[in-house]
Amino acid sequence: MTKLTRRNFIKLSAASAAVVTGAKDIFGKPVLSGVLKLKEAGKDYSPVTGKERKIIPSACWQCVARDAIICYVEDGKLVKIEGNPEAIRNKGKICAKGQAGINQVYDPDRILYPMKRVGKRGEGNWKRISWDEALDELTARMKKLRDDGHPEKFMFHYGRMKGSDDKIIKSNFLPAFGTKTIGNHTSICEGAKWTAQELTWGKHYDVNDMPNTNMILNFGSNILEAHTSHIQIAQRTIEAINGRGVKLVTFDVRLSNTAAKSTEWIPIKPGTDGAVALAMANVVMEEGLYDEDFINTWTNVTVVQLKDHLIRYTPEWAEGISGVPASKIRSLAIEYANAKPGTIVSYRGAVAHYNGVDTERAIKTLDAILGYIDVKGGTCHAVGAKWKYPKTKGKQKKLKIDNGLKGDAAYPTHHINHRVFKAIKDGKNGRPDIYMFYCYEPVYANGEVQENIDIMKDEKLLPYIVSINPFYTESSALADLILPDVTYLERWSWDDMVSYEHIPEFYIRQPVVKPPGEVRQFQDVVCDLAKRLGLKMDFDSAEDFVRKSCKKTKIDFKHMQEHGVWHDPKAKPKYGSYAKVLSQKDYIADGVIFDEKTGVYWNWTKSKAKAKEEAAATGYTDTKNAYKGYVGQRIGDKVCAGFKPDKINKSGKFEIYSGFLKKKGFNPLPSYVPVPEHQKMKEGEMILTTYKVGVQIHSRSQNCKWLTEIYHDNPALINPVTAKKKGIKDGDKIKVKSIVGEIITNARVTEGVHPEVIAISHHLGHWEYGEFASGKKASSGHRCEPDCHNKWWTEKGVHPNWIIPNAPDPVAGQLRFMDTVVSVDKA
Amino acid sequence: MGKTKVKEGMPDVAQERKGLSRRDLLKMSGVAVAGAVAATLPTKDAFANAKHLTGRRLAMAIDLDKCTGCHACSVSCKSEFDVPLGVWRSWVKVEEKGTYPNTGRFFLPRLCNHCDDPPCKKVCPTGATGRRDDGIVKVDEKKCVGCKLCIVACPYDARFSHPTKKVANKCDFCRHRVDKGVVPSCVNACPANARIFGDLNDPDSDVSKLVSRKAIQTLRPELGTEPHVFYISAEKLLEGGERR
Amino acid sequence: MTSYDIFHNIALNWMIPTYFFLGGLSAGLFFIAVAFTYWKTDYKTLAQPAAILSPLVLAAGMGLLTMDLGHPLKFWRLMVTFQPSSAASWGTWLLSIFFMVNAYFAYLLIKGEDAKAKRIGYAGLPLAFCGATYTGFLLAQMQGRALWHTALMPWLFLVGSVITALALVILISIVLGKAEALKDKFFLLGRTLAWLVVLEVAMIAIEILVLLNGGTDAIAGAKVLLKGNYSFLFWVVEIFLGAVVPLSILFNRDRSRKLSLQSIAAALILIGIFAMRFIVVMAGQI
Repeated sequence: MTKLTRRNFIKLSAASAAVVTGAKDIFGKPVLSGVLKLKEAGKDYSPVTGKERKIIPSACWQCVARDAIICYVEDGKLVKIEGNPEAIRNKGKICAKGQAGINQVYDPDRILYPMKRVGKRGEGNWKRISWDEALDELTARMKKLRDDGHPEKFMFHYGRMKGSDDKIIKSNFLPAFGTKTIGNHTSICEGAKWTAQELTWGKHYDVNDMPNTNMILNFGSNILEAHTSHIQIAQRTIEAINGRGVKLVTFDVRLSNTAAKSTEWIPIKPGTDGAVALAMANVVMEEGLYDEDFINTWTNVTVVQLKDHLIRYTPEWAEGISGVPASKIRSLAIEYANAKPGTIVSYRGAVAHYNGVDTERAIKTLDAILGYIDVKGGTCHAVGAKWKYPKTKGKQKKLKIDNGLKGDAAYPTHHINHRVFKAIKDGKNGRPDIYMFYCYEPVYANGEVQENIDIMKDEKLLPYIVSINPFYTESSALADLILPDVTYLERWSWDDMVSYEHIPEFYIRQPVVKPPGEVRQFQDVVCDLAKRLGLKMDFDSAEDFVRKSCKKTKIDFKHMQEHGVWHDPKAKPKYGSYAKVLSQKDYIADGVIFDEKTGVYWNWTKSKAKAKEEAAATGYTDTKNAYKGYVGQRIGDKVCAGFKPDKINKSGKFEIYSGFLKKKGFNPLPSYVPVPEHQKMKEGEMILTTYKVGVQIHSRSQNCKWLTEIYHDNPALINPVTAKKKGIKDGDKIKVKSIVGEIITNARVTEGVHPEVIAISHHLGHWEYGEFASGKKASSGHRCEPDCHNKWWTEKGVHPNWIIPNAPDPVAGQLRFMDTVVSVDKA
Repeated sequence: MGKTKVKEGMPDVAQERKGLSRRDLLKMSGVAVAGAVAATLPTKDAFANAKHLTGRRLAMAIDLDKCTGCHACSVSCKSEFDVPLGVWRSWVKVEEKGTYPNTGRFFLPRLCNHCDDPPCKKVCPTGATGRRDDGIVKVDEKKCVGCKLCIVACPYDARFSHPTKKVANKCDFCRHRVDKGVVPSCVNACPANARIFGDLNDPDSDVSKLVSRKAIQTLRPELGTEPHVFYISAEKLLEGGERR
Repeated sequence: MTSYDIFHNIALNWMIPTYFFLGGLSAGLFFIAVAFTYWKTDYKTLAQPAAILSPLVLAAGMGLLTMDLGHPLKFWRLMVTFQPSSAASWGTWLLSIFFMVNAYFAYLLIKGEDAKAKRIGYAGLPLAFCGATYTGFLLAQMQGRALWHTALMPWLFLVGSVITALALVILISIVLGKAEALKDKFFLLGRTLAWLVVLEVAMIAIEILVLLNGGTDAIAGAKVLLKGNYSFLFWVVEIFLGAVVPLSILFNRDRSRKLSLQSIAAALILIGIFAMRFIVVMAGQI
């Protein structure tokens, strides 16, 4: 018999009380009986009133992954965001950032009215004006440019802009206005990766087929905290490594969460991933594990050529360069070759370097020689929704400043936005009269922050700056006119992010709450501007654009409003579409000619050639924009779809040998190019790398209180052995100095970072952007809420971009975020 | 009102407390070694009690192999209840251990354990904290006077004093959702599907099968609280893991 | 470690240890009042002040406790229910009854109805005992707090309550000028107080030794006192000022005779015990 201890006594009395009262809880509420069946998703209730919360489907915008969401609204207030359970891409899930989207809407420092600068730039004094005043002023300036015959002096610079938001601007308004002076942000992102892919297999975005793969190699990507398709790839990766025991090997300079969950984390010296990939390719060729058929049929090199080229990249050589043991390289290469199939993930950790393009090409080559390209379980081409939408034609002129300075890069296919300011400063190719930036942080997101600030403050270089922003950021603080934009939860758009199901999913974004104050969706403002400027566009609002796009694409708009997502139920994932054999009617058609040299069938009318003879004479490779007319590739005696080119007149083959690189003096075969600065490092110098965490996105989520509550300090990560040598203890103030400048920040001594690396996350270090991001209330107005008083942290971090040079890689112009050599000392 | 916080820069001596005691180790490995169904379930007493009660026993299993420390659950909980800054109903603890290059990082999602013998209920002088028949430990905000004893009684730091409502608050397994047939918010949010929720008394439920078939650990089992949040693969945390 | 650490507020603040201090003081004062009226009648002159102070101090303590509640005006909820597992619930009822007994006893003493008072006083003794110890039990019943979950806690509180009461009585007596009248007998009070402090310190020492031989939580808890955040308060205030200095006065033949020094000793002891309550409550929550 159990001894009647006091505990038992209490328990028994409680139990008996419960039995006595029957199947009710102690508050008298009935307990559900029977088998418990709980719905996984798609419903929510108010915890206070129990009322069911209304659902409005939409799409996320907290990062580029743009997953489909459902938003719960209670009495006109957005209260909860969950993943859309009907979405095939993100399968009902979103990350922490996505759920914190609510914080964007109710940010106490949001800009609610158009603001005009008072006093000097940067003083932080603003005057509230009406939309009419604002647009009158802007229209007048824009009209003058057009009237003077210089529409190209209106520069539109965007950071994150996709889907219909992008098409309304770039495919309608800007052509109608007549300017092609457009800046993007890709060069601070992964421009090198895309250019490498365009030189090799065609259009960018590689999709790793996690559900079907047998082994995953990861060079410098933080799949579980970031990645352009974050939730899609993360959830499928977890299913693979956890559910099926698939091995994930991560090469990274620091222990990211992805590295922590990997089967193995292999620390690697920054910028040397290419060496490892090439050595692994060498082992594959040596051991005869290559896919001879794929190499011979689909690439433009032979087995002999590959062996001859790769033989110098031995694992021992690679070990000397990267620090990865030769035996590990060898064993991994063999294991990966035998995975059949495997897939390699690569991102900024590998490509944001001087040698980023070569590194990505080497990695793709490794997958190619093993036949893992576009196969089930391999590295596949991306499939995204192809919307049909209204377009406006127009003659566009441009200032040649979107590629930075002359000689910055050989093939800047995604432009070199971080050097636009330098080009403007230089002035040789002109300067914009109106500099308008949208969802972009020229000051904060690029390197050399001080120079960015100086250029923005200089009215001689940038006479008129317009910021389209829901928030008062470091860059908006230096503008002349701020037009308050809506947050993504208050706007209309359609979207088209790639699908890891290999089935395109069409989805929309719609307002879930009424926008506050006088904020207006920029795309609506653009329609307004167009009317004022007398430009004709086929739609009069963003919503109209979405409706018309749905109609053109034959998708039911009402269905989209109710479900948010749609995909063709009959669509099936297609692998190996490069091998699709074309029928004669595809390549024997008007305008299609055959290029003997490359074996490409192409439609010259889509290129810049003026006549068929000219096109034939110049040839496919050298005719400007010939890739736009690409039809197919002759393979043996057949014509196949091939590896469709993009941005570069690549043939339809998987070009391991790139004539384009050879033309500009680079090695045509993927090779290892050491980072020049790393060869000249002095004793004690370290390499600065930046990184992301799962709860923040670049520079635009730190105003989200729930996210910044979790992550609000970015100390510099330093290895204990290195720290000891420098006399640095955990929490010490340290000085990190590069050729650009220096910062004083705190050290975090951790075993999770390479001894030669100092890692500082670039999310933090704001000095504007509102109460939660920087502690500074916005000069444009602050509306206190209870949580402003509950903010318990005072840290705001130190931004590393102050000391990172805006240096471009020589091929694509990528900002070499992970190359900076610094000296690190106790401050 | 004093707002003293336990800051990160606490002396190492206090950080040590975060390690599991040797007794915990033995208890846990004992649980793992025993393997049998009986050994992996809470004590026979509590289980017997649970069987006495009609209906179900709600419980959660968290697979630490799957958890990637993404904090989707933390933010979803904050959002569901509009929890003020500074306090959490559910959060994720992150621990790093090992020496370079064999460094590891582990994540421990935390929430109220909905104990069978909750210390919070034990000390509540007004009866505001109670335990439903199905195991959910909840706070009746009308009855709570804000004495805060339950907050200190909880060995898991799962409770807090709501900054504006001034009553005790904590995770309640999203009973407003569960009672209407939807999983708790954190379970819905987890992209890795690391949280499994259901009726422990239903042998066909996922949570019941996991708890029966896998080696599971609970936090501070020696305290006799009989928590009903079961962790799978927590052995990786043993060296530098979380207790509270 | 990343910046991902999340932590909780410390829930109980200075009001709780102050209440413990006052509650214990009140119980001790009651005990002394009864003892000096009916047993150690030599000290009868000191009994009345003690008896009067007791309910006042208790009222102050209960007032403080009510103010500390998140919803002070909802305190009535404590009085409409009884939760047998909760020491706080026991305490609520206990103190309510004790207060009434206490106040009535003081009233009777003032009125001079000694005989009636005796019955009330004796009836109140078990209530006082419970009142002094239940707070210790309140802490001890929380098995998750290594610094609190010890069998010694109720005893530490009991002895502490007698110490504070005695120290206050000594102090008040000196202030009110009643000390001279008792001459040598007065110094016996000081001596008694001293031995009680020795007992308390011994219990603290035993507690810490046992903690240091316990599990990780226990050891860490002990270290917070010995080496950590509360070590200054512990060593300097609680031990040195609260025990070492007073004992050096009270055990010394000459010093213990000086009323001024005695009052200092008594005051320091009061501070020391208060520090002890404060440290136990605050450090226990870490």
